[in-house]
Amino acid sequence: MMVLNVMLHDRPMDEELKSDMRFFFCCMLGTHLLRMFIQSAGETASWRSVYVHAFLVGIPVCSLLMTVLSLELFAFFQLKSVDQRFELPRAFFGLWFFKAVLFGGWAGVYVSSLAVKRSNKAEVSRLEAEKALREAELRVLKAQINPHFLFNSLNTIRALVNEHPDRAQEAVLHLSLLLRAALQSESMLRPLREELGTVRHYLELEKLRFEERLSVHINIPAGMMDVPVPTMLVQILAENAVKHGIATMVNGGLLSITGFIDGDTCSIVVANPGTLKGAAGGNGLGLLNARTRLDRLVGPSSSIELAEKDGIVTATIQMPYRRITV
Amino acid sequence: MIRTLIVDDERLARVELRRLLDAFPEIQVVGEAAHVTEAAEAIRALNPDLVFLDVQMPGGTGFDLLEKMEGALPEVVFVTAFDEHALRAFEFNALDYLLKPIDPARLAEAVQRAKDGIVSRRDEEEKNPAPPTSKLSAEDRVFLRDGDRCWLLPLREIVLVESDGNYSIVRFAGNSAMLPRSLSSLEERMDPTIFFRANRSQLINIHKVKKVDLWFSGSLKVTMEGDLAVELSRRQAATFRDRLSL
Repeated sequence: MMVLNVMLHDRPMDEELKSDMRFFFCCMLGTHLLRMFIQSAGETASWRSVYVHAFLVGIPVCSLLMTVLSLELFAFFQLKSVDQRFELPRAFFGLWFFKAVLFGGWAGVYVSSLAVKRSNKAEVSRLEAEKALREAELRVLKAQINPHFLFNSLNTIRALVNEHPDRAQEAVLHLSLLLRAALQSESMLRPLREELGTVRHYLELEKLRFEERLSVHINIPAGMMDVPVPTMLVQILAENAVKHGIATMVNGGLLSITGFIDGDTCSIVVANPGTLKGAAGGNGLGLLNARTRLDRLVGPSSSIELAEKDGIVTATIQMPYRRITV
Repeated sequence: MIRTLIVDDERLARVELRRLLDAFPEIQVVGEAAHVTEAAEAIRALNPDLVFLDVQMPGGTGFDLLEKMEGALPEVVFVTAFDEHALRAFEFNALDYLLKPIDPARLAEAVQRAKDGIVSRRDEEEKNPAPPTSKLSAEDRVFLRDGDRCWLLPLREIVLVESDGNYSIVRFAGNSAMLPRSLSSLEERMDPTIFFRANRSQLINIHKVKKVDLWFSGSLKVTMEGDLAVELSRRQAATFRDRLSL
């Protein structure tokens, strides 16, 4: 640019050099400011907010340029008032315009390259989040059809085919209904009545497996049967009660499912003999999933609590209760 | 005839396995057990050649049972409903396992494998008849566990055993595992013609000695396989010399 100016306007070399140095200094300062402002938006900021920040920083930079321009003009008119022969250099405004466009262009390119980088990063993190979600869903599905239970049940049924063909037929039916329920969308709510139906199918199968080691007692007040509960929630608690309780006891024990209504809350208690220490032997993923789903589907006023007293482990679901008036 | 024990906490699972085993005339099911304690007693009382062992049982897993066993271990085939990490962790492919519901073809393979194992060990014992004591022979195996890894290791593979309080550290082929038994109790059960008490805290396998060096004032320094160095006290060094020179 210096060479261009010298050629076009016959201006002395050193003056042009100074002017260009000033300009490049301004460019560097401006770029640095831009970077600072963009970084202040945070590493995770989207490409849109990069542009917004660039625009915001553009306003003070532009007003700075305008101030410098008006100061130069002001100084010129002061000089002119002293000496009428003083003239504005040729292409004064053109040069200013040219510098402004050059700087604007440079800033635009810089911001755009940053924005592209950001948008790539944002895309990658979005894909990663999606992948994590899908994996979590898969884990939920896997946890709902416990492979141990599934293959043990199939083994039991195979043994029953010879011993009691009629009971084998029943078992196949229970298993089918249970699998169908497990394959339903996990985000759905359904009346407790239906959920208990699934739990009964499950427990019937486990009774075939554990025989006299498992006895079941279900007592839910009729008023609670229409309470909406997340699909497979009570089922998971019952499965835990068998896996960590009944199955670890040589003589088995009683698995009870009891419901209570207390004012505007209701609770479902799943109890089994055992210790909480044994229950912690798993990865706790099932319970964590159950809690997340309950929170999402029923709301933060709901909860699942585990407790152990006198060799009995209880899992208690608490939910808001609204009496349905006809 | 292969004397066989079935260990599973579910009656129907035992029934099913028994039915499948009917197809093998060489298998004689001598007993059943429903949990770890019962199984340990049955193994002691019946001394079976082969055990079909469920992994998940009340009162402890199949691994706990193997760890508990004092005498020689029978051939073991694990039976489980699900491909467990713990079973795949077995080193040297030492252990067979079947998945429920059991595939008869896989069962036939497992039985054949167990039979081969039993026959080769019987041959070995005939060649080198063990003294008629309760001592374990070189071909007998111990169950070892180190974190997630498990081994069923013939005693002859052990390089040395070190005392660590009430525990013992077994070193073999570049690995080591902890046993919940004191060194003296282990020494009592091992064949003294193979295992030699080098000093207060170490028991070495004579067949795994690579090099013997003279050490200070009549003591010996023994280098074992895997370059483990063991010092023999003067008194033990004399016994060791006698033993080696026959």
